[in-house]
Amino acid sequence: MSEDKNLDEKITRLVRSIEKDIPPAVEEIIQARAASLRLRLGLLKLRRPLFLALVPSSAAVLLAAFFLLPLSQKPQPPISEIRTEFEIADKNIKIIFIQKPDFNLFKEN
Amino acid sequence: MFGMRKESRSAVAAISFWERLIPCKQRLYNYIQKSLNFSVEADDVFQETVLHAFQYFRSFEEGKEFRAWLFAIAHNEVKKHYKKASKISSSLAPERLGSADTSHLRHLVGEVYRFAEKMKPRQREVFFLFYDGGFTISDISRITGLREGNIKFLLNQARRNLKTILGEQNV
Repeated sequence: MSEDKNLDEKITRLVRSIEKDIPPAVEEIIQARAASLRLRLGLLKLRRPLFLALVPSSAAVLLAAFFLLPLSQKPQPPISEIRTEFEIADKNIKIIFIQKPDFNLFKEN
Repeated sequence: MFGMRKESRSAVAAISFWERLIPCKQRLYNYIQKSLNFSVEADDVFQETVLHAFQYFRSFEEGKEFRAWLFAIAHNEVKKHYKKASKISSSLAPERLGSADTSHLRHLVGEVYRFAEKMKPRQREVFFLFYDGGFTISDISRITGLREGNIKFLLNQARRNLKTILGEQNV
């Protein structure tokens, strides 16, 4: 057991005798990429609540437009006459009914 | 107001991350370098590891060991790299291994690294996590997801082989 421990210590010493330093260029790249990543993550965080705030407000605008649009339209003039046409082509007959407001259907003479 | 509080919280988290990284980044860099046989791609893997850790630092649970969490990310990056690259370009020429104190020591170091080079990636990772990273077997189990018994077996195998190699060299 202690023999294993001794061997482990020797191997550790040999393995750790090789130490590579992080190149400054690698450190710089990491810092630059981390800065842009942080910015991107920050923007994403900000963008989400703004987008969510737009949903109810745009729904309210649509509803208001739906209810207020008929009010802004001009009232239509009353119907002055109703015209109904029938045409029998092979007999060269054309029947036209014109219904005026003063015409009473069940008028008695 | 709320946005500002949130912003300052994320700034504090970022500072906390870099502060925690400082004491372990050198070991992390060496672990990646050694696990990838000092491949030229090791720098990229190191970059990806640090940036992933930075990005997902929010998921780090306070009270847990930061170093183990960071090395677990490194382990995943190394694994990902091995999946992508079928063959890792290794450069374990003794002159590239740096300057060990004496030529005898340098020779032994060369022997250890040559032995590590022949290991399978998973075994090499366990080997360097134990001997270079200084992690315990249970830590390595958490980092790599391997069973403790499996790790002990891999380490024993390495120990037995190195005993033969180094024993003959009179360490």
